Amino acid sequence: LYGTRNRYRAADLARMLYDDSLSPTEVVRRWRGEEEVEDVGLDPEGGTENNEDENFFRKASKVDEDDLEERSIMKYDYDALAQKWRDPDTLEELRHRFTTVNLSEEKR
Amino acid sequence: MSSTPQSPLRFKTQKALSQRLVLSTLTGRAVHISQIRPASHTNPGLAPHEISLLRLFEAVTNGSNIEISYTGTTLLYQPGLITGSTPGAGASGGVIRHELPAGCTRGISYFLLPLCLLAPFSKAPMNVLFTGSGVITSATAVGDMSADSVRTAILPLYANFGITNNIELRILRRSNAGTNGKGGAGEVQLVFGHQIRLPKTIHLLKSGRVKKVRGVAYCTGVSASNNARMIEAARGVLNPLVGDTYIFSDVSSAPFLPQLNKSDPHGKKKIGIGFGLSLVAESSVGCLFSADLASPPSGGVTPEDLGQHCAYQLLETVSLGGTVSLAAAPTMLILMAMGSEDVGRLQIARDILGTDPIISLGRDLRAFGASGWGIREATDEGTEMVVSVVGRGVGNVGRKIA
Repeated sequence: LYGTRNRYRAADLARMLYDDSLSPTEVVRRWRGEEEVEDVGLDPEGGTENNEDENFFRKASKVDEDDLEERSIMKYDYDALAQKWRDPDTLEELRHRFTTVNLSEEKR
Repeated sequence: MSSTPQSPLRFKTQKALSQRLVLSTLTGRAVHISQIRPASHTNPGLAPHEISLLRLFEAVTNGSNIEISYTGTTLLYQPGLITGSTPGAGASGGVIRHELPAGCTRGISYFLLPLCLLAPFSKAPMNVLFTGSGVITSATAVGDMSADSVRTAILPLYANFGITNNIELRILRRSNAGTNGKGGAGEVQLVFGHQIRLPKTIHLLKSGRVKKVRGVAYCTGVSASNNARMIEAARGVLNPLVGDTYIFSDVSSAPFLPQLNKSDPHGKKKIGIGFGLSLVAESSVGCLFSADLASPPSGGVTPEDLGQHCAYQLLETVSLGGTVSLAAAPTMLILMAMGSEDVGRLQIARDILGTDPIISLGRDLRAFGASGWGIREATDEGTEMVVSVVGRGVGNVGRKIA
């Protein structure tokens, strides 16, 4: 129940859009109602305890650098995409976006 | 523009660099960008493609001033007037030749998209020939769309804003990305001859249904059968949904470049070998959704896989909904913001609006003095949003003076 209620509300985005205390990534995550990801979870090494020394000597993450580059095409996981669109049901769901949709049958 | 000199807007990191430079040039506001790849040990500071873009901006404007720090991590850009290809300002015979260096890793669309945004506000027609050993016309692994998609999916969008005449993108020589994704030696010419005072206010609220798919399969320096295999695989995915699918096939030989090599000083080398596919779905009301994929420079992908993946990518883009795709959304939103002081509306998928680049664009636009976006749900399901953008009414400074 939690998270499904307040997801993707336009008013929420309008409020957060120009709130400079949130980074764009955070705005997106909150708007989508995704759970707050703790810093430990983001750690590329994975599963380190809140050991101060380890946090202090952490390498600057390489992933962030890539995210800063401009892309006009999103990164896709093509295996996941293939799996998604090989499914005839998903294809049928998408059919309403195409002119081949049978509108008379849909209404029945 | 106000007459008092304003302090430059300050930004950090290389994020959305080209977009910020475009906004800076359009609004006439100087920008100061710091912390450009400061942590990179191998390539700190501005990358070759970013320097090339700055050179391009310098070539099509008059009075731009660019200051780059010694390490390249800080940039000050004071925009000039957008003059286009006026003779006497770097253009010979009405054409500006822009050479891209061999180390360029970005596709040509990285340069074309910003240039197209500047062109309607130019004083004279824009006519730029991209040449040199860094021109990659195909899609790239770093997320650039192909030149074909720019031609078939981005340039038609300008018609919505009343920018229709004399716009042409000629792909004179094709090239895929070369070794390690660097360089290509293609050749592309952009002619953008329609200059306006202000873009029209648009109200795009209906996406319609996809009625046809067009595409271009290209291969450079490899067998033409790759095209046929890509096309067949893509059609296999799309045929159950769209009957009207037509994919052109373009075969060309790879560019032949002199290679500087001590043992063989007259040697030449073929670069930019590969193949790729660009697909564009057009809806009944003229909305365009594009998908792009090209073979990676390292190879190892069959044309069948590539064709299928590209078709899946197209389905994914269409399934998001809205009237624009992610690749086209920044262009549309920037042109809307530069329009007359009236409210324009654009229906956009929530998964496109709710992405990092678009949110950043909204913030950047506000930083450059545009008014904030209004957002509301378009439908009850809430998968699509309507963004209302009030134009800034600045328009074409060059044409006001001229």
